[in-house]
Formats: sequence, C-alpha cells, structure tokens
Amino acid sequence: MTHLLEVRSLRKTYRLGRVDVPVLKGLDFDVREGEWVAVLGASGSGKSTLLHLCGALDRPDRDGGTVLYREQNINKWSAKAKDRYRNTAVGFVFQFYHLLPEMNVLQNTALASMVRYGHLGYLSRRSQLMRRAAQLLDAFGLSNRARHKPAELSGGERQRVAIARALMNEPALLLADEPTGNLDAVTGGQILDVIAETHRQGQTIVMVTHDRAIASRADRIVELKGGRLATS
Amino acid sequence: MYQASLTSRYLLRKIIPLLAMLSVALCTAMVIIVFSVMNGFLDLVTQAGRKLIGDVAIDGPVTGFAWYEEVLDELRRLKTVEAASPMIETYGLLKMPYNQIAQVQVVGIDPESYDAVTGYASTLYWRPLTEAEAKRLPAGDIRREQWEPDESLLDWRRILHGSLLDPEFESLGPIGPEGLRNHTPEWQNPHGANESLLERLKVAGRTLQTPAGSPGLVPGIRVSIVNERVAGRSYDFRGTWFMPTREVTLTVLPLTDEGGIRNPESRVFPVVNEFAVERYDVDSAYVFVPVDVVQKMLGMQPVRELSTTEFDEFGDPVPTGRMTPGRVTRIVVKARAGVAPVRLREQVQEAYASVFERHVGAMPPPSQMNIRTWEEQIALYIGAVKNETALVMTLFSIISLVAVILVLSIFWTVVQQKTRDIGILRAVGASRLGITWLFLLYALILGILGAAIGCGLAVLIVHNINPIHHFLGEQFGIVIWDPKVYMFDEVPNDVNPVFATMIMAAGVLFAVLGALLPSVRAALIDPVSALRYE
Repeated sequence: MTHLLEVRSLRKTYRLGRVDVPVLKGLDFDVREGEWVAVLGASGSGKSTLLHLCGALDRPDRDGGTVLYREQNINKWSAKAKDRYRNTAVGFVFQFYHLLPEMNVLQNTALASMVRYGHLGYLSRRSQLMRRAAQLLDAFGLSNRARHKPAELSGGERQRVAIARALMNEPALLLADEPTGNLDAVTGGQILDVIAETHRQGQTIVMVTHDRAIASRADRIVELKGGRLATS
Repeated sequence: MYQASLTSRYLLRKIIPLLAMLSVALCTAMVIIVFSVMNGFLDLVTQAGRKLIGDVAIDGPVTGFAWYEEVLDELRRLKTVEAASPMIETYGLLKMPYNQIAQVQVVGIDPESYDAVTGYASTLYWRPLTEAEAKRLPAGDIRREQWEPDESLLDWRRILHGSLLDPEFESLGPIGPEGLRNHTPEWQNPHGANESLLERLKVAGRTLQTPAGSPGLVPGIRVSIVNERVAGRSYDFRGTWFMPTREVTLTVLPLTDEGGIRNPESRVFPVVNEFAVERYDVDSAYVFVPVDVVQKMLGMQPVRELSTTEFDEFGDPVPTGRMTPGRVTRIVVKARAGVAPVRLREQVQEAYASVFERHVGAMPPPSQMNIRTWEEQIALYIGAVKNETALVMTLFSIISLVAVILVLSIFWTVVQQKTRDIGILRAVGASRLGITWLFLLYALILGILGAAIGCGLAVLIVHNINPIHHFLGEQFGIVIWDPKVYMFDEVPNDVNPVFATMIMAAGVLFAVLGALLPSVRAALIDPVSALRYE
C-alpha cells in the first residue's frame, strides 16, 4: 500500500503567556491508503494538534517539519488549496460533534457539499447531493432523523451525523478526534462500529484517543509521549 | 450556498440581529420623514414664491420706464414667449372699513395678460369651486356652500345671496349684495338675480372691475387683519365683515423723475375679490388694481406733449401733436412650454436692448435694468429654507451613522456567539472570504429588510402626518405646524420615490458597513481556537 500521509519531523509549539510550550517535538508518522491508525496518548500529549496539522487546520512551527499528502507538502499550499484539501480530501469528526445548531440533520450532513460547490453548483446538483446525504444517514440508521435539529438528537446520533458529514464529499482521509470521548461505553461502541464499517469499505482513518481499548479497534496504534511517537 | 442557507436560519432564529434591522429601519424612516417634510416644505416655498412673478421679469426704476409697449410687442414676437404683461409696483396706504389702515404694496396689472403670464385668476379666493376643490376644504368653509348641505353654512349662504344682517354690524346697515343693492348700484347684477355672488366676484376679480364697469381692487387675503386663518387653506370671516363689495381708499405717492414726492393721490375702489397665494408676505401686503388706473394716480400715463415755445391766446402751451409714452416699473414674461427660463432671459435681454437702441435717452439702458428668471428673483427668499433643509438633512444623516455603530456592535456580538460555527465551517473547507461573505450577506439582507420596513413606515407616517399632527394637537396640545404662523396649512406629505430609494440604499450600505469589521474579524479567527471556543 502507498502512503497517503507522511509526517516528517513535525514540531508545534504553543505560547502560553510568556512561556513556549512545545507540544510536538519532531514527530514522524505515516498513514497508508486504506489503513486505520489509532494515535494513543494522554490528555495534552498533542494528539489533537497532530490531527489539526494533518488536516491543515493549523500550521507547524517555522521549519517545523512537513505533512505530505500524496507526496505533496500541504504547508506550502495556498490558503485556497488548503481550504479545498479540508473540504474534499479530509473529513473531521470531533469529540463534541460540532454540528451547526440552526441546520437540520440532512443539511448538516450536506454542509461540506454546500461549501464545495457554491450557490449555482450546489443548486444544479441539489437532488443528487441530497440523495447522497440521505443515503449516508440511512446507512448510519438516521433516516428518520433527517429533519430533526441537532438539539433533538442523542449524543450517539449526533456523532453519527458528524461522521456522515465528514464522509459527504468522499474524502480520502477521515480524521477522528476522540470520537467516543463524549459518549457512554455502549454508544461509544456503536460509533466505533460505524467507523469500523466505513474502514471496511476502504476508508483511511486516523483516530486519536486516550483509551487503549478503543485504540485496539484500529489496524495500528501509535503512541504519543513527550511530543514524540513512543511506539509504532 | 451555505451562506444563504445559514443567513435565512439566523434571520428566523436570532433576536439580536433583528435589533440591527430595527435600527436600520428607524434610521431610514427618520431620514425619509425628515427629508420628505423638509423637501416638501422647500417645494411649497418655491411654488408659492414662484406664483405671480412669471418666468422672467424686467424690473426698471421706481419711476418706471417708457416704451414698454414696444418692449411687449418685441417680446410677443419671440417664439419662446407665451405671454408678457406690464405692471407697476409702488407702495401705498389702504384705508379699509372701520378705519382699518394698512401699508400695502400696490401692484397695477393688466388682468388679462397678467393672468396669461402668472395664472392670477386661479389665486382668487372668491370663486365658485369645482366639487373636487370644495371637498378638499374643511367643513364649514364658506366656499363649499354650492356643494355643502351643512346647515352651519346657512348664514354664509344668506351673505352670498345677500340677505344677512350681521348682528355685530347691524347698526352699520346691511352687508352683502342685497344690502349693497340699496347703497352701491355697482353690484347690481346685470345678468339677473340668480347668478351667485361667487360667480360675480370671480368675473370682477379677473377683470378688476365691478359688474357696472368701475375699476376694482383685489387685496391679499391677509391684508384685512380680521381675516383669521384657520386650518385647511381657509379663513374664518365669521363675526367680522366680508371684504368683497366693500369700498376702500387707496393712497399712493407719485414720484418726480428726480425721485421727489408729489402730492399724494387717493382714490376709492370697491373690493372686487381677494387673493391667496399661501405666501404670507404677499398675501398680507399686496393689492391688485388696474395698471392704467395706477399709471394715472402716479402720473405715469401717456400724455400729450406740450410745446415749450408756442402758447395759445390764454398763454397755455400748445400741444405738439406728439405723445409722451406711458411708463411701467415691470414686465413679466411667461416662457413657452419646454423653454428654459435662463434661455428666455437672454432673449428678453436682447429684446429690451433692441427697443432701447431705437429710443436711446428715453429709456434706461439695459445695464440699469434688472432682468431675472423667477429663480433668481426668489433666490434670497428660498435660500434660507434651502440652507435649513440642507442643515437638517446633514444633522439627521450624521445621527443615522449611529446605526452603523449599532450594527457593528450587534455583529461583533453575533460573531462572538458564532465563533464555534465559524470553526466548523473552516474545518469543512469554508474560506476566509466565504466566512466574510456569510456575515456581510447577513447584514445585507438585514439592511434590505430594515430599509424596506423603514421606507414603508416612513411612507405610512408621511402620508398620515397631517392626521397624526391634528391628533397630537387635539389630544396633547402639541401643534408644531401652526397654520397661523406658517405659510402653509398642512405638513407636506409626499414622499419622493427617487430620494426614498437613495435613502434606502444608504440604509443598506450603512448596515453592510457596520458589519464589515466584525465580518473581517470572523474570517481571521483561528479555526482551531474557534473549535475549542466555549
């Protein structure tokens, strides 16, 4: 399998007041096409930061290494190219779901396609995109919730909507940040089943978690300790 | 696409932005109302100022200028001239019934040509009105008598048909045509008793003659102090006396060529009507009399030239057979439709100059004549109102900038509230420009709705401003637009659609400007921080 993502010597430092706090201290890490990688680490170990850097939501330090997506350094891309990368190549799933409260489930699911195609493009493909969103919701057992607002859903349902949204534009890479961190064990297990199912269908996934049992569902576990990978 | 989708949802579910919309609406409404009233006021002042002065006027010295008839002939030959009329303006004293004496501006006119230039006949107060005109007058106005079954007009009907004795003035004898028939044969109706007094007054006012053919006088409606102005372009004559058909004495001061004063000339005139142009300084001071009569009173009429070398057997100078031409102080000119007054003024100047060339020494040179368009004549008069309008508009526009600050602070709060949404949108690929546009579109729609609501509110208020004003006056005693003080009875209540549209566009622009800074701030929010925002 070829590498979808290659992370080389990645460094990221946050400034808290007058103090520089290095979070990632030269991290190397690869993800192959179709692989499910779990990044295991304690709170504050830099797991989410790694995910944000891989998803071009954040930038590494100056000369702080590279993130190569299909052999291209995403940090050298223009802002427009990074926006397109976040929109079409990756899909984020967050611990706190992060659904837009004003939109219903179907619209939240279709959000990435609204961003992708603009007004005219979206309207001309509207029925096709709505069908795709409805199929995703159906696959995640949410077809009866399509017209509901996020506030009317349970935590597990909200996370399934968030996964559906992340998969809407058929991204090559799914980045899941503690996807079960806000759920009870049973619901969390159901979410992991959903993620496992998408992986079975060929989806490449990078999932960060602090829970070894959850991480064990992945193909491979990498552990973050002191800003570096401890195990691979 | 997400911008439109989110904007429509934000609009329906958020209260705070509706306050921004309300502020835009109120500011738009405020500026449209103020502009409509002030601009309407300016229009009224301009229209009133324009009345009775024609499009272009030739003004000469107070002693008048000769050969005016040749000037009139020259003007009437011009294709740009619709009509031209001679006038004499001078000061005088008017003695009215019951020893009421007023200083007046005496205006000698040729009624027919003056009406053709200025529409003088339409300013006559006493004339039969059309039903539509009568309906616009307040109940109880005497001029509604033809259309109004109101019993309160019965007394006036009797006056108009000549049978009322006003109790207050009973001792002075009967007034009105019936009584006057006994004393003044001038007003006996040659066409029979059935013709109403209003009809006879209209004819008399238009011709400045009594039915018997005597020269008459038409004063402004406010020349007599007992004509009390009430709302609705009406005057209350009750308990007073009725000026038309009364006799007044006009005294003028003839001038020598050197500017000295000769013996005052007095003459008794019957009042044949009254006029109202809704301009206080005109309605309270002007009296119209036939121009030939004023010419004679002032010694400005054509006279036979007498020899300075030949005398008859009685020692009196012998006529030379030539005439010394009469003089007037002013000529007013009306332009044909589509002719700009400025262009007409140039042609009038050329016409006067050509007549002057034929009579050098007998007429003031063109450089001593004042030839002006109507706008130039009333520039000083309307200048103050124009400045006042501009000042008020500027002040209210500045006040409207408050809306920008309000929109800014509201959108600053909205962006704060929506920080996490911004992070989510950035995570799914929304660009910074897209985020900016999201909030600008939101502000644009709020601005459009606010401006439309404000415009609707303004139209509603402006169209009903007079009933509102009357209500405030009746309920709370708040009378801002007192018809006794202002020249106009009613608050202007027309909204200029072009300016209303411009003000609406400004309202929308203000909303977008107010949202600009928060929108840029939203775009610059770090997406990672936004996602962590609590």
